[in-house]
Amino acid sequence: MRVIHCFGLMVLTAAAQGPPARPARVVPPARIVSFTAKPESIQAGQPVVLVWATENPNGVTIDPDVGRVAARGSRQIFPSTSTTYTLKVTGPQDSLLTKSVTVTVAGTAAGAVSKAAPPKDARMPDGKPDLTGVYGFAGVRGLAEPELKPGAEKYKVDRSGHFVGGRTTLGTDCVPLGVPQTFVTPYPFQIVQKQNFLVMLFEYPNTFRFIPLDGRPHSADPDPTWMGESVGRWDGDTLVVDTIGFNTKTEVSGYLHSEALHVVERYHRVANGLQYDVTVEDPNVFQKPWVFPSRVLPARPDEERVDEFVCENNVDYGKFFGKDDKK
Amino acid sequence: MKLRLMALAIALGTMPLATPGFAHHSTAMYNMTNPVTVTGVVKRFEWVNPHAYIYLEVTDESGKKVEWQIEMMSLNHLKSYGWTHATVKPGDTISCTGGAAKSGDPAMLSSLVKLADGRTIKS
Amino acid sequence: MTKSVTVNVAGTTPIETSEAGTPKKETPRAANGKPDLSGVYDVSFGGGGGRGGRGPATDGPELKPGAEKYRVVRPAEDTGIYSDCMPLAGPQAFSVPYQFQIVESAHSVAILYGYPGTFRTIPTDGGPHPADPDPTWMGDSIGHWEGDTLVVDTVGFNDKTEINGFRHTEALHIIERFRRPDANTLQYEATMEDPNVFVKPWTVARTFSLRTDLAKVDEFVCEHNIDYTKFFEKK
Repeated sequence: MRVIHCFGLMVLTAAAQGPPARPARVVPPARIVSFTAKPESIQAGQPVVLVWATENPNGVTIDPDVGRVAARGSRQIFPSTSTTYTLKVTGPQDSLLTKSVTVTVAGTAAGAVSKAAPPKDARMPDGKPDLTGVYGFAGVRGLAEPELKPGAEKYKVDRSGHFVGGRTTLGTDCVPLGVPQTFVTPYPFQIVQKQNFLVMLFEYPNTFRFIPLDGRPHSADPDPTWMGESVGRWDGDTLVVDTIGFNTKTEVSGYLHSEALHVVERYHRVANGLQYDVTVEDPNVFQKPWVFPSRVLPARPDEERVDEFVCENNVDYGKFFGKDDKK
Repeated sequence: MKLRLMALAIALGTMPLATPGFAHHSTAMYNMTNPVTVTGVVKRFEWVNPHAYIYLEVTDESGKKVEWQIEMMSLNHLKSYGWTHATVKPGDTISCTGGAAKSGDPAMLSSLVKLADGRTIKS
Repeated sequence: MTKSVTVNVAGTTPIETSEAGTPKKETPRAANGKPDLSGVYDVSFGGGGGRGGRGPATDGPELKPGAEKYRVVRPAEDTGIYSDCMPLAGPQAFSVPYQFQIVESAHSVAILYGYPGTFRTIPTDGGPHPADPDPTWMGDSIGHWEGDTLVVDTVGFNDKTEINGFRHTEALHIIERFRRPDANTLQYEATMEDPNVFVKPWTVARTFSLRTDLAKVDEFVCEHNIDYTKFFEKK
């Protein structure tokens, strides 16, 4: 193997004769741009703001006390004693970079105030799990293709030719993705839970679901919506969400559906996030209920909240296809 | 000799790039298997969803200026790579590597940018 | 015209219902003792400075010299800020005939806007703002409690929105105050400053009513916009 340095990139190439047997991958190195604490000297009880910036990281943490963080950000902390904070960045080819700052604290603090997310075993006053927090997405592995009813082949999404939608989206106009499709697209979502209901805030495409938890039934004939009408109930510590009232404009893992779509989800908190089980049925499309393999929607302790997402500069992608590209 | 040929291949961008992350649309309209690199001056940087765009003025061999539309990932992906709205500014000279539009339009889906000071960053 | 149904519950005696006003219900409180602002509220038109964005308020702010261009003047063919379903900033978001929903939890407040179906999240542990926030339509908000008032400080706006008839720059800074003096009433005040546009900060005040009949705001998806400009009479 030969290593060539080009524009600061490491490129591994095959041996000298002929082109490489397998294409090399061009991956830029991770780097720490800056890491500061302001101020660096405080009286006990005063706040300090850590500010950091990294590029091309695989993962970023700040220890002690802060944990996993985003590539760039700032965090207000209240150290009670002099502390050295270390920023650790993992990057491509198992690289590891670190940088430290020390905050000097004079005097003693009455008690550190931390802006913590709810503890992992947080509970509501009535003892039910409090699922408040930010979570990531999870692709589906090992999903068996569903058995279609005769004549239902038309529901299969055709992604060939000049299809402009994405691998998990039907179009380019940022409309809601439906359930459970919304959990396979790589954006986080946030749960805010109250005693009798919770809301899910989806960063993509800036939409929300309202899920009552008081065991109420569905309405008799819900108006069709993109995210459906959900009702929730507790089965021990598992939240069971039953959703109907979908319109016909979304897909479920490669299949369109009718307004008879019925989705049952189960959310159960585990150490690293939410165990997510979902069963999908549509008597007009699938021969029997389509059971998805269990997967975990990962907790995102590095994200305090989801961001704004506004779809405002879509482009007509169809014109970029070549005239001779008819595949 | 072989080293020079390989360096030339890289400059022409014929080494495939790491697959770009989620685009909310298909990438089939871009030639992702044979990426190219363009270098030019930033005219505009649109820090918006669903895709950020750099509009790059590229001077071709004949001296003609062509404005390239450089599409990148959505803002949440760019932020995870370390971008902010100020990472690129009008007037910066940068290079963008990616799949060009199959139609021949001066447009690409870029997955790597070399910034004005030589830093490279995923896009 | 009225219609009545009677539901008989075994083991209870019926109580008289009255059409007369009932005494105001107390402010609900969260576990941490703060007012719980959660609920679905109606936007009611009232208070100063807001006329649904149809034009500049006659009693609006004083503009700096040279800032007259920020005053919105809509030509006849302009279909207005509500024709494209883009997010609305600050008090403008409450100037539409839709409901909004506040969901308050221990460390943050979420506001769900019935129009245009967006949401805003406000961490309530006091900030700070990022050093150079990326500009967004609704800005970067941080909140903290001053007694029973939730004070929300927002910076990091892009320059694409209007506030009550005025455009602005990315230097816009809005401070909002939310109070819930009783269960059915939400009081709101917003103070805007933009040193590039306004001579001094200016304030609008609104009052919203709780919708006791609604548990949630509806989904809103802007999916059928048409090019309305073609409908204007040809000159």
